[in-house]
Amino acid sequence: MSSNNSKGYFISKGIDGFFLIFSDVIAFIGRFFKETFRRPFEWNELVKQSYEVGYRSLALITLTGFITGVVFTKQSRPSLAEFGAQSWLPSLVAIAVIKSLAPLVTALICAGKVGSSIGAELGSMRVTEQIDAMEVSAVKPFKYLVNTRIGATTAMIPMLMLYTAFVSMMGSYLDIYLHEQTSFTFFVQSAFSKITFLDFASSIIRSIVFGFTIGAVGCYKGYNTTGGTQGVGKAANAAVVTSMFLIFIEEVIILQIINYFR
Amino acid sequence: MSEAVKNKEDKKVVIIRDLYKSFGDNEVLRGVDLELNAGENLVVLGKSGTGKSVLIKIISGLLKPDSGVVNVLGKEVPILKEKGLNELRLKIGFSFQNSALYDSMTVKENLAFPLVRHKTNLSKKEVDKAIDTVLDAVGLLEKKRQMPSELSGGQKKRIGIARTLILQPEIMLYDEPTAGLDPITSCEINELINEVKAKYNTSSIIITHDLTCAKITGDRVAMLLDGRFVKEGSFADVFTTEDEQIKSFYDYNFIQ
Amino acid sequence: MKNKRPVIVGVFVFAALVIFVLGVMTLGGQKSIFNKGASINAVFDEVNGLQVGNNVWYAGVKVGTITEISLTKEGKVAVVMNIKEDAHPLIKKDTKAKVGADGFIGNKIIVLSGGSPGAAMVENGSTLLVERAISTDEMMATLQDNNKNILAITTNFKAISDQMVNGKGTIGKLLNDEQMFTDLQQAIVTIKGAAINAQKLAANVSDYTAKLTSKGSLANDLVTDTVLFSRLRSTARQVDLLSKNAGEVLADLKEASATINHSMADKSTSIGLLLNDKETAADIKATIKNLQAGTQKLDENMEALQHNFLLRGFFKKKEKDKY
Repeated sequence: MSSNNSKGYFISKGIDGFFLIFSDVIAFIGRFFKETFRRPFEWNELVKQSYEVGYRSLALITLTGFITGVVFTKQSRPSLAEFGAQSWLPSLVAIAVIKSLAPLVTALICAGKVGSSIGAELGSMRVTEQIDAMEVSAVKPFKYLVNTRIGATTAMIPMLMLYTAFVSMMGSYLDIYLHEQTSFTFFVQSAFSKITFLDFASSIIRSIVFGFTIGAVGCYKGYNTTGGTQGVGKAANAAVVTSMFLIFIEEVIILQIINYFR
Repeated sequence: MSEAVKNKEDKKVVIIRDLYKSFGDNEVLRGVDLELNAGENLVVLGKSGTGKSVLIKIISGLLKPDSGVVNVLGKEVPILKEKGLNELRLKIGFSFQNSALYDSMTVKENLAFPLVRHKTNLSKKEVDKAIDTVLDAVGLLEKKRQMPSELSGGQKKRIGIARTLILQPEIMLYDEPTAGLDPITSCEINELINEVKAKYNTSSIIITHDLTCAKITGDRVAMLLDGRFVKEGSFADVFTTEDEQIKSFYDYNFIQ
Repeated sequence: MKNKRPVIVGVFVFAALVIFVLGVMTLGGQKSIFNKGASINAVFDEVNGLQVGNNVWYAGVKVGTITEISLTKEGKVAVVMNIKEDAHPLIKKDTKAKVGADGFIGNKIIVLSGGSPGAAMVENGSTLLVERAISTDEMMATLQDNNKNILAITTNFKAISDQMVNGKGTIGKLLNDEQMFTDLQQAIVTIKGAAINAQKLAANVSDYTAKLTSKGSLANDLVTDTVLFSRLRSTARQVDLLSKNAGEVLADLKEASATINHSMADKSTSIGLLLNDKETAADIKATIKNLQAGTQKLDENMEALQHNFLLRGFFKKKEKDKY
């Protein structure tokens, strides 16, 4: 066995490993979709996870979103003021927030908060044999644990994104109101004047993909944890790092695809 | 069905022949042969890392063997599809080394978890009744509303056993039932294993390195060394040997 | 807690959906997709980058949006706009449409204007008259012409200022000729002196006339002689005129020197153009000479006045009072 190790790899250890993980991930995602359409649905667990992902992140998201809106407005004002275009602030902030910041900020915050907790929870369930226990009691742990979590993140993160966008715009309005005394009606009108349906849809689509990514990466890392308690930490960490990395890659790819439709 | 009947007649619920399993370069099981008779407690003794846990994980289908025959209740476990495997698993109870209670659920929810997913036609009352019955059997009726984190190691073990009993299995697999417990609690668990055998009429495989446990619970004892069984028989038979390895194991255990 | 969970999740989802719907509605309202109203056409030669969804303004108020833009067979642009129901009656048959912008760099819009109150309301689906608007491009072209002109002017200025620096042309000479400058300075000093004298004189005269009015004084007695008085009066008037003239000359000179100073400090001013005329420079020179002569004469006059027999006594007295 040990003698043919050098020959055992198809290309090299690293590249083989990459494709093995890649095919493993594809199988994991495929299994998710397969299980999604199988009865019975774990509604209670889905609601519980939605509660954890959505409601429990609300405070953090609200604070972050609000600060994002205020700070972005404050930082943009001087450059616009240079050519006397403060009246463009609402539309500038709306473009930044709705098109890009809200989905990204929400996804990154949730990757940190939700992704790590999913990774850690499933990781510890794996190393304390809770997942095995489910399996031997003939309950599909994949369906019960993975599908509900991925489902919850996929559904909740677009919603959190909407909150973030809303709260950010409110923060921005507050700052604009304090400095330029703009009326709310004008603010809303000029904010939305540069936003199209496609932008709005694009943000929601991206959020759905980000949500799926956070859930899938967290579950994959957690579900395949090895190496005891240390492995749990590694899984949680890897869940955050990998999903954040993927979020940025996806952002670019989806933007390219959507620009193609423009 | 006819196979199962035949197995009942033969009184062999688990038959393992020439089982090999390795993890990477580490060959854990090298040609294991084992038979479990109906209604018997078989204790598998061995040092840590000799693949005892691997053996019962293969029996329950959690791990796939490299080669060999694993026949449980007349079914070839390695070749079973998911559906068939899950049907078989309903008849196998698995008590994990660390109890493996679901941290996020109360004791009651832990017990209800497998039950409501397999016996969907049960009313809420029937579920409650089934839970009370098994909790009573392990003597922890008052812990129904507690979270696993609030329980002691011995209590967790009991709840873990209760959770497997709720599906009324034919075969019980115990993975180190007394590991990490004080001697008195260990004794209680050993007695519980015997009670379960009497009450639920199960056949059990008990994995342990604890000789007291083996002595109390084992109808038959098998010694696993270097990936295969070296000695089999009653507790007394196994330890009246002159084999140095077995003797060293025995001595070590009792000095400790 | 556990029973509340579905409720909380439900509320959460509901609130998110509300935000979603609000967003869609705001976007929808912006583009008037759900709006009912009149559909009106206009055919333009060009639309300057007008887009579907841009606004339609009437008297500076948004009354609708562009719903469709297409090219006709004749190579013109057919624009269909949706006019809000409430604004529809304002749009008359003779209302004109033109392409504009809601700011210099802002969105393109359609501006509706005109329309006589008596005219009938425009019907759904009819085509409006079109007014040609100055496009940004044309504006830019005009600006380009302006730029060229400005460039030409500045080039001229540059040439002039160059010459001025190099001492060419009269103004250059004027600016660079030290002799001239000292002459000018001297003239100014002299004028100043004359002005002070004139002021003194005027003060004395007014003093004297004051004394004339007070009865019983020698002066008053003198004045009772009407002949003498009228003579004296005409003399005083002349002196007054003289001092006034001197004041004017002084002001003129001040101005001239200020201008020259300015042109010296800033070599590219348009005064270069004006003073680039040799004749003017000669005039200025002559003027300065005349002024010099004038002030000298004024001094002489003053001297003469002091020696006038009538006023001699007065002046002497004044001299005495001083000490």
